[in-house]
Amino acid sequence: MIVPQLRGAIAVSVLINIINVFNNLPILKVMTGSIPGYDADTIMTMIFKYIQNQHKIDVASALSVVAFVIVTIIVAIYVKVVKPMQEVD
Amino acid sequence: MTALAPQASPQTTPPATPPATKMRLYTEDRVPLGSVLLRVIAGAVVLLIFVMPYVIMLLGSVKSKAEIRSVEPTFFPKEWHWENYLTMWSTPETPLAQNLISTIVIALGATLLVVHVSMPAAYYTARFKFAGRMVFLFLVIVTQMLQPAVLTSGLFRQFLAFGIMDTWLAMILVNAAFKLSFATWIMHSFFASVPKEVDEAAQIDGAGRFTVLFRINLPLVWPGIVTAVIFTFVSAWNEFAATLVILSSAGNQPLSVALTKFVGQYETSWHYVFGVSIVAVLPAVILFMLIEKRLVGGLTAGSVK
Repeated sequence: MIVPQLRGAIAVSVLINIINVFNNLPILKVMTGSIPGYDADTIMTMIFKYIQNQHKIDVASALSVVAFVIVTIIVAIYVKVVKPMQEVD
Repeated sequence: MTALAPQASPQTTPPATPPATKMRLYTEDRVPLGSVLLRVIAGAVVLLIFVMPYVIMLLGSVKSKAEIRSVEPTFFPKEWHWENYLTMWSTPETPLAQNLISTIVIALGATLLVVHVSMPAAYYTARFKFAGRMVFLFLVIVTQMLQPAVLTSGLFRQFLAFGIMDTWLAMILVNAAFKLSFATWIMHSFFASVPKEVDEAAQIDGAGRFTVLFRINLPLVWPGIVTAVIFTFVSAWNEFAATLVILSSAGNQPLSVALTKFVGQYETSWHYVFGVSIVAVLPAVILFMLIEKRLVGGLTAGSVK
C-alpha cells in the first residue's frame, strides 16, 4: 500500500533522472575521455570533443539542439504513457 | 547519503521502554543467524564500495606533498600531516575562507528562492484547472533538458546585459533556475496527493487561501519540501560549469571552483585538493543528517494522526 501512494513522486523522480542522466557529462568525460575514437561517446561527450579537439563550435551547437529535441521526444512519450501529473478533479 | 544506505541488519532493537514491561520484538519471525551474517557482509561490501572514495580523499588530505606524488603510491600516509587543514586556509592560490562564505551564501540564497517560488507554483498547478496547465508544466521541465554547460555562453551575455556579472546574485539566480523545475514537479506531485476535500474542509471553517496553503497543506507536504530543499542545496553547493564562467574574481568564487585553483599548469597540490574536498563535502553531509530527522519526523507525524 506504500508504493501506490508514492506513485507521483516516483514518476517525477524517474523523469528528472532520465533527463539528468541524458545530460550527464563530468563523470562520463572522466571515465571515457581517454578512449580514442568515438565509440564510447554519448551525445554530450561528443559535443565536447567537437569543441575541444576539432574546434567545430557550429557542429557542437547543432548537436546540442539535436540532443534537446531527442530529450523532448523521450519526455513527451514518458509523460503521455506514465502520466506523472495527476489531473485536477 | 548513499554511503549510509546499505545497513542490512534487520530491525531487532526493542523500543526504549522500561524493562519491567515485557515488550515483544517488532518482528515476529526471527531471521536465522546465517542469513543475518550474509546480509551484514553484503551490506559491508556495498558500504566499502561507496565509502572508499571518501576514505582515499581523507587519507590523501593528510599526506605530505612529496608523499602524495611519490612514484610508489602509499595507501596510508607515512606521516600524518593534520596541519594541512590549517595551512590550506592561507595559500597563494585562493582565499579559501571567502570561498566557503561564497558557497554558503549562494547555496542558501538559491534554496530560499527556489522554495519560495516553486511552492506556490506547485500548489496552484496541483489544485486549480486553468488553460495551458500542462503546457506550463511542460515548459517548466524544458529548462532541465539542456546541458547546463551549453547554456553558459547565453547566460554570460545575459548577465553582462543586466550588469550583474561576477556577483553572488547572478549565481543565486542561475542555481535557482536550474533546480526550479525539479522542485516544482516534485512538490506538485506531493500537493496533488493531498485530497482536495482537506482544502474544502478548511475553507468551510473560514480559512483563507493563504491559511489553507500555509497552515493546512504545508505540514502535509513537508517531506516534499524537504526533498526539494536537499536537492536544491546540494546541487547549488556543487554547481561548477556555470559558476566557472560567470564568477571571475577569486573572492566571489565558491569552493567547487576554488578547488580547481590547486590544479596548476606545472604542479598540483593534491593534498590541498583532497583537504578542500573534505571541507566542501562536510556541510552537505551535516545538512543531510540534520534534515533527515525532520524528514522522518514529518512522515511519522502525518501517519500516526
